Amino acid sequence: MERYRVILGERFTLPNKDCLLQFELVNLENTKKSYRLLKLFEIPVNVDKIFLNNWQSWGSCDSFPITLDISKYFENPPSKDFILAFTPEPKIFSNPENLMSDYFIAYGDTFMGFLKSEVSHNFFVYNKNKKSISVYVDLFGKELEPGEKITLEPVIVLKGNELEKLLETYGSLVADENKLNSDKEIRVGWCSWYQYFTNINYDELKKNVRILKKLREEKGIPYRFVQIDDGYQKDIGDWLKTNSKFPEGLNGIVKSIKEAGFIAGIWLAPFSISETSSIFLEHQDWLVKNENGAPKIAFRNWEKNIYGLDLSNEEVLNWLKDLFTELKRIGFDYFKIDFLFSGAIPGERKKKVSPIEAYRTGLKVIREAIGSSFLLGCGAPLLPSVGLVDGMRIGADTSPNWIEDIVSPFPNAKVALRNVVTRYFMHKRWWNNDPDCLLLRGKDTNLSKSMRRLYSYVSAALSNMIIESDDMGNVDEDGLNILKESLKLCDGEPRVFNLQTDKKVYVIGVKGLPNGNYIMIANLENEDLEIEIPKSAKQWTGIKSKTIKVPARDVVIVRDQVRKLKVERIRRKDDNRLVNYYWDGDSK
Amino acid sequence: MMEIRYNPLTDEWVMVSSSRRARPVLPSENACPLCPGVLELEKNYDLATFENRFPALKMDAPEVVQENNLLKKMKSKGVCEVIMYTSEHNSALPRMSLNQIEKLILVWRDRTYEISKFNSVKYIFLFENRGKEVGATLSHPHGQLYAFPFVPKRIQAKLDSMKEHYSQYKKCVLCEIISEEIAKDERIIYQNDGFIAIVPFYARFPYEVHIYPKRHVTSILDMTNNEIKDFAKTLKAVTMKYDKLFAQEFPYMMCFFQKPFNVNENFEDFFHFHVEFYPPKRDKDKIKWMASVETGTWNFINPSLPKEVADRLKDAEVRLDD
Ligand SMILES: [Zn+2]
Ligand SMILES: [Zn+2]
Repeated sequence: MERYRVILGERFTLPNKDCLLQFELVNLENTKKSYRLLKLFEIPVNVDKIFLNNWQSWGSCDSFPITLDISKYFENPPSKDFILAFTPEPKIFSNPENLMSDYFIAYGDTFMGFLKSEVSHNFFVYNKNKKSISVYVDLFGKELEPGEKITLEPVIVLKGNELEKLLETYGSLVADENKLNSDKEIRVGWCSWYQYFTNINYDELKKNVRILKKLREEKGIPYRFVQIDDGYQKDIGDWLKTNSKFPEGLNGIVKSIKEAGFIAGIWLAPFSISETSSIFLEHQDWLVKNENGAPKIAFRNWEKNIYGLDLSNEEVLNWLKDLFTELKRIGFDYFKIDFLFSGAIPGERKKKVSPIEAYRTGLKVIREAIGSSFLLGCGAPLLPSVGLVDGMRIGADTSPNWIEDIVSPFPNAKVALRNVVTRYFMHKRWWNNDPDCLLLRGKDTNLSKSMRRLYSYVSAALSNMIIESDDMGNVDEDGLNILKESLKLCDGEPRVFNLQTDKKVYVIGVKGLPNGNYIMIANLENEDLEIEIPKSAKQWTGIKSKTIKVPARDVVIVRDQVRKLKVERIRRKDDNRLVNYYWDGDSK
Repeated sequence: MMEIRYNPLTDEWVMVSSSRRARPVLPSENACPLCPGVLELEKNYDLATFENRFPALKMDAPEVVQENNLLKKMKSKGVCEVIMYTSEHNSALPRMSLNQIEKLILVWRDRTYEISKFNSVKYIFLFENRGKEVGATLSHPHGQLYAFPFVPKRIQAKLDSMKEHYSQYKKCVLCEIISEEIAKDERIIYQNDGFIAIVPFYARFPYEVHIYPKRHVTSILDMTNNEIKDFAKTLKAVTMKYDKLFAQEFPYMMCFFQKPFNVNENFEDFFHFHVEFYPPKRDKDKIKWMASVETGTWNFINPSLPKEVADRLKDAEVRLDD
């Protein structure tokens, strides 16, 4: 691939081929200069739709018509109170003339993407009036000495008509740039959130652990970790003390989970501090400030103002280190860290570092404190997290409700599942994708059996993490069967073939599994559809099928069944060498 | 001593494996250690695999201490397995039933899949050395598998070259060669719905044959059930033709090339699975040696014309009844 080095400010035309662009910023003044938003280049674009990506876990990644107005979704609370969750550039984001895309963008036959975000926030803006895309880097006030030169974070340009290939190539280039090496067990887990929300209590936790253990032992369902979610803690920021629903504290939680043979997991929002927490009362100097020097509200939730920790402050980092060291000492080995964006909000910090640098410093402290334990990011800026987490939520919160709107980022099974598909290429390249929990119960839910199956099968076909979130007392045979069938679909080589379709019906080809390739058609629409299988999906799997009917909000699988051998795997008694004996299915 | 050493002159890795353990004693001098119940396989079997007794790579390889930056080394962490094609001592690929070869392909798939789960494994190499001319000491039909903790040099050369072609033309080079060979039909010695076998335009050995799946697949795991059947037929046809050529058991090295595993790169679009046979002969009784030019420069001098060899192999008629 050709590399171009460009000095910012020089005339520059985007080459019409795959290339890597490196921009250099030089301070030509005789005084120290501080840099904020820099436009790298602007190109005219004449298309009807664009593939956009939001910077954070919960935000949309999809192909949208250029007429879309995202700003109207953020005009009123609660979304208005959450705008910093969806962008560190609220002015640009909420201008109805703009469509903003963080990290990467695709239109026509062109894909552009930044290979990293360790210092600056990097994004693209489509302007509806100018019909152009501008490429921006925000350095948030970084200072350069006279004559000092820095290289900005590189942009890759890829050409081609099959978006999935460009996304996979981009994903691999980012992974390479970040030297990722992920080798962690990712299924199956259980999480308390989508059944109990903040109402989880100790007895319910223990009850579920009991049932999960029974299912593992009697039905062979490989549950491996149990993660307590929001609802155990005294306050947002006071994580080591439990509330009255957990009288035996964190030790009791760990003990009851580990005694049943599970990995103990815990949820927390480590960069968030509520206005009623002890940290807010004692250490306001630990928080990110606004331009007036007052603590800056990051968002509102739990009916409270929530502030972001200043992760450039050594005292904060020491507190964070002690917190995670203690949680690990208590016995947790799986950490779901949520609302991470609040560590990366723009604002005043103790040290002159960018919000992105501060955020990464915070994540690194956590990573070092927990060692090889599993770290699952959520509500997190995506690109700055690459290489620091083992798993990452890549969509909005799921929900026991299925809502048709696919722009609003609030809990909704459909919008969550859409991102599972569109961000599939991040899985195993950047981290293990967390598609959010599977809700498999038949009670306390507005999800039909076909919706539950659809969500579960798609997550499995894309080989994502599998985490169930149900009152296990409410899960019937149907639910267990969906889970068992899903597990058989995992660990192939998936590719999604029609990411830019207007109707949300996706064709997923999976190959590389010993028992054979398959094509999955996932229909997220509320109508029965007949789908013509794209040639590229047939090529990927070798399956020749032409058109497939898929019921509304359901999934169909077309398989190529490969002949099976029986196998016995044994270790030799004398030297422990592995021996495999194979024979025909019918005879021995 | 077991470690992998880096050669900074060529950017390649050398596996050092010097075992002082004594060879096990066989029940009798002529006993075959691969026959059921003799030494390596305690039970009766149809097909089987086992980890090498004296492996060059193993998962629990000894740790290595880096002495300096010049003489680099790495742990011999990997897998070396022997793959038993059948319990019939006197069989061989060309004499095995299609059913047995199909089962063998399923075994290759199972081993590839299972071993690819180890994140430290970067390349899984399936191969067979047939005949004493290529160092096979045991005649019982078997192949081997090496799972490397790195991508070997020649594989990397293939990947780089195929990637270069893809980035220039946005097409897989082997897909293009396959259409070209089918259109020309000069060097094809056998084909069916799923595969072609050719003496390639760029053959290095006089009797070199390559097998290419017609569909763009990147590993043995991607094949459909029909392709597995077609692959079995192709393997049988090629090896039968070899044996027929000089009415002798034709020695060869058979190498499978699949994409690397657990490497953060997108090989899917430019890499195409293939098999290469390198027979060490240049005539009925003459050996084609890997001599100075071949070994020292990696350049081969092919004394015969691929098209003419292809004609002879095409004419060596074989029947694939069962
Ligand atoms: Zn034998
Ligand atoms: Zn190809």
